[in-house]
Amino acid sequence: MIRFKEQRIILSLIVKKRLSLISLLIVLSFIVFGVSGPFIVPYPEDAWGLTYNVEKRFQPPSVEHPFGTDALGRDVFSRVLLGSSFSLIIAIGVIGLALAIGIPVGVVAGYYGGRIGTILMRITDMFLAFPPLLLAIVLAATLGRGLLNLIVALAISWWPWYSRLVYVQTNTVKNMPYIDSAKIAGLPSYKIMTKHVIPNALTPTLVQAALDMGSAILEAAGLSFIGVGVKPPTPEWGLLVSEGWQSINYAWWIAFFPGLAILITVVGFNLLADALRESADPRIRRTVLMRLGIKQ
Amino acid sequence: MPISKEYVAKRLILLMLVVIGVLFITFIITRIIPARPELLWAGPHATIEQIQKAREQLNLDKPILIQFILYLHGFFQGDWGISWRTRSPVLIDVLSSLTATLELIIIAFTIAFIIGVPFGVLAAIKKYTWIDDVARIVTVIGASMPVFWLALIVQLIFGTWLGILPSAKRVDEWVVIVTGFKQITGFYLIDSILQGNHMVFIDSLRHIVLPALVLASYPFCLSARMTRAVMMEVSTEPHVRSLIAWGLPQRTILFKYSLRNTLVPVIASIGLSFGYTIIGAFMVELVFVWPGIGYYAAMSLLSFDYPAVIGCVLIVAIFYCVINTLVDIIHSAIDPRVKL
Amino acid sequence: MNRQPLLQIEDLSIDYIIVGGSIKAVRNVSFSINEGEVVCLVGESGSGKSTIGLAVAGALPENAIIRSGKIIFQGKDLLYEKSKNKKIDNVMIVFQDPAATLNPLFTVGEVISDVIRSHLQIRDKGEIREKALEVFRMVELPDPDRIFNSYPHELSGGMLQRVVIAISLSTNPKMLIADEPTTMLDVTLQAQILDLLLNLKKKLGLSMLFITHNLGVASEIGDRIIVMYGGEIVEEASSKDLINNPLHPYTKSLMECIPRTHIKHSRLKHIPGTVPDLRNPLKGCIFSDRCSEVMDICRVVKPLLKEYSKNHKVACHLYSEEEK
Repeated sequence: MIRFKEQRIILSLIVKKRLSLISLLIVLSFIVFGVSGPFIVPYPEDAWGLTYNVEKRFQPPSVEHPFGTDALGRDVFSRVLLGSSFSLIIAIGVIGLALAIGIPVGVVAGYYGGRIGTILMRITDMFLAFPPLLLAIVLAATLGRGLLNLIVALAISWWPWYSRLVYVQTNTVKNMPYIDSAKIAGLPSYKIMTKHVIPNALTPTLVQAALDMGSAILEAAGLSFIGVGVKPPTPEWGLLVSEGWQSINYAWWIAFFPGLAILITVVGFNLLADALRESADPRIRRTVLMRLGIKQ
Repeated sequence: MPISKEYVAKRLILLMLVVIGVLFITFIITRIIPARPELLWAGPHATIEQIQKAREQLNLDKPILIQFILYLHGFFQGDWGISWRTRSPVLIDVLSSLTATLELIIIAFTIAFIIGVPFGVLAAIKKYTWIDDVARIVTVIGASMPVFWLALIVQLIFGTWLGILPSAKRVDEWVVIVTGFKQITGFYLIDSILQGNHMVFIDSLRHIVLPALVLASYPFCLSARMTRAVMMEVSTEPHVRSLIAWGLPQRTILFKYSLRNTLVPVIASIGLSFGYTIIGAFMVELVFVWPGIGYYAAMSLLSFDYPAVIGCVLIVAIFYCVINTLVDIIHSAIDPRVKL
Repeated sequence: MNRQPLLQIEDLSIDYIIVGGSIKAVRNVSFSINEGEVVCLVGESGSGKSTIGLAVAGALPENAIIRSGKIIFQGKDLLYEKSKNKKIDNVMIVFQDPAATLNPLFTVGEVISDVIRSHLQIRDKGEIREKALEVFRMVELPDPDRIFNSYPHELSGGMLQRVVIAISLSTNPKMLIADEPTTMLDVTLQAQILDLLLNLKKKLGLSMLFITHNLGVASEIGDRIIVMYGGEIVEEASSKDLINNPLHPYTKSLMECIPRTHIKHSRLKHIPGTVPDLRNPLKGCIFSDRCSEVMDICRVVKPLLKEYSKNHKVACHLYSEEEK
């Protein structure tokens, strides 16, 4: 009885560890493919969408073209592989830009509080009053299609999350005894902010931000799919799925593989987030729960 | 817990402010950011007169503050512009497609929460067993799924390859014509029951299965994952441990105490799930040719029908604010610590 | 005077399973508590004292495994009873943080009613309420009616701890386990709660297992004190004996950690080193790496808990001449 229970717990812990390892592997290989993508694609012209080859249209997966070819005879594998680079750029761009707006707003609002804090957080709340992605859709529709516009549109709809997280963290850190002692010691407030508040308040947010890259990829793909993302012939995964849509009934592979790439990549990031949620650091745990939308 | 009238009144005033904030942001995005908003408003291939007319409609010659006030005025008057794709007022278009979406979302959402929450609870109770491991993997995959891709794949497999379920539209035209089906509420499932029209009922039920399941996948996984995570968090908390130590039956601890602790944050997050679902409906409706607001919005996006897009965004955003307000009121009813 | 003790713990070992191994939190612990006696378990955090309390109360966390041993209460093996899902009415527990002990979403009355309902064969709502109000009065809570309908966040820390004690008493237990019941309270409240517990003990003839890290508190309330270190008992004696004549080096250093006002200009002592790693406990004496009087034998041979004088046991090679 005891042995059985012990074995079960150990087994479950191993599965958990395995899953974390797999997720790490997925995320790392996504980054590796993303960085090296442009240099290792088997058919670079196909990947960038510069050429088309009518004789090779709609070829099913084969040794030569493991993911088949698309309506213009381009190698789907090359396009999906290069797509990882674009997804990586989008993910880093969106998260980076969102952090660049969200962190200052959150820190200032949290640290100074008062009227500035209230105004900043009310503005944040106004943005959060939109359903996720909707703001990005209007912005993308207004700005027009394009990689940069897509990144800006997503980041604008994203930063309020971070300013809220940072705000809550800063508020917590602000009331810690060591901040009081720094104040008593006469440290100027910008120094307290940069040396004590920001590093302590930011760690959980940065961890969360790294894990959000999966969601950024997912949402960017969604925007591209409904026509407000990147311009064709950019090999962005969402756009690739949308391109394969017309011919899905007789050439399923064109839409299937880019979608699978999105799925696997996002699973990687989400599993990693799960592993961290159950990790020891309660600050990170709390932040992950908050990002899930759990109000505290 | 009775909710005080003052609380509800306060929330309603807050809702008003939030709606005005939402309108303010959309005003900035649609009128201030673009260099020439009238070009977007008039649509591609517009003539010079049309552009001039759009300019007048948008009051672009007036000061910005006046523009905003007129914008608000127009919004509350129901003057949301004319869709140049359908050539009818946007507000009429939007409202007429709302019921189709609601029918889909309500079913998807019910599936998601009625199955998702117990699923999460089960996984949390069966921690350290294969049930939990399977639940983890299933929900993580579902929460990572690009919903438009899932829609395509499901449509391909069940609609095209197996041919067991219809994969487009709400109902077959000929069934409607043959049986003389009329719309009353706009919810086909309800209307067909009201008219005793079992053919339309079965047909629209068959039509709704695939899109509803695809749309439910994300909120289902979200609610299951969250329930599981919160339940596990709750079960390690001292107030649960103390109930165990005080010898309460496991059933009581689980279903009376822990479950309520778990449901508080899960219910508080319904609004957000709803937000994800309604955006998911944009893509699912597009793929399944479901004539709801998501389909309307997606078609408008694809044809650069700007007034129509903005109309959809406004109605969805306001809908979302209302839902969130309702959720907050429910939240305060079940959590005695929340008081305003 | 050789009657059966109320609670008897024999050779109890408890592990916590973690990633890549297990923490041996409690190892081969045996002791007993007589009727009407207050026994204090004293030790640092991580010494296993709370784990023992939880084991007796039957509320160990999921990843805890009882490796060996018996917990015999009134002649019944609690572990066996628990595995048969039988309710144990006669042992109740009071926890450290009263605010966290009570579920924030339920009124105090609801919780105590459920406890009463599941232990005593009372079904009638009014009767249950009467019983609850009775124990509320017993713990000197003012305005019991109001408290019955209050949520935890509406009550102060001291009141909450009284409520928790009341809940524990509502099943008419023979024994109370108090797991650091005063640690989270401020000093005046601490004294009040200790007084209350002592009064209740006298009035109701309760036995108590009092868990604390504070030797001072232990000597005030306890008849007997058991000092634990790293999951093992290192010394056991009556309160007086232990305070006047501490034997084990660890107990001695604990004594030096108690702040004393009558010795002027003395710095507060601390024990060098850190709590032992219980994934791989030391082979010899568990305290040997922090002990100031360590000998060669201590690093190799584990000292056994032996009687040094009457009712004074210690596990240390300093006192076992014949073993040297």
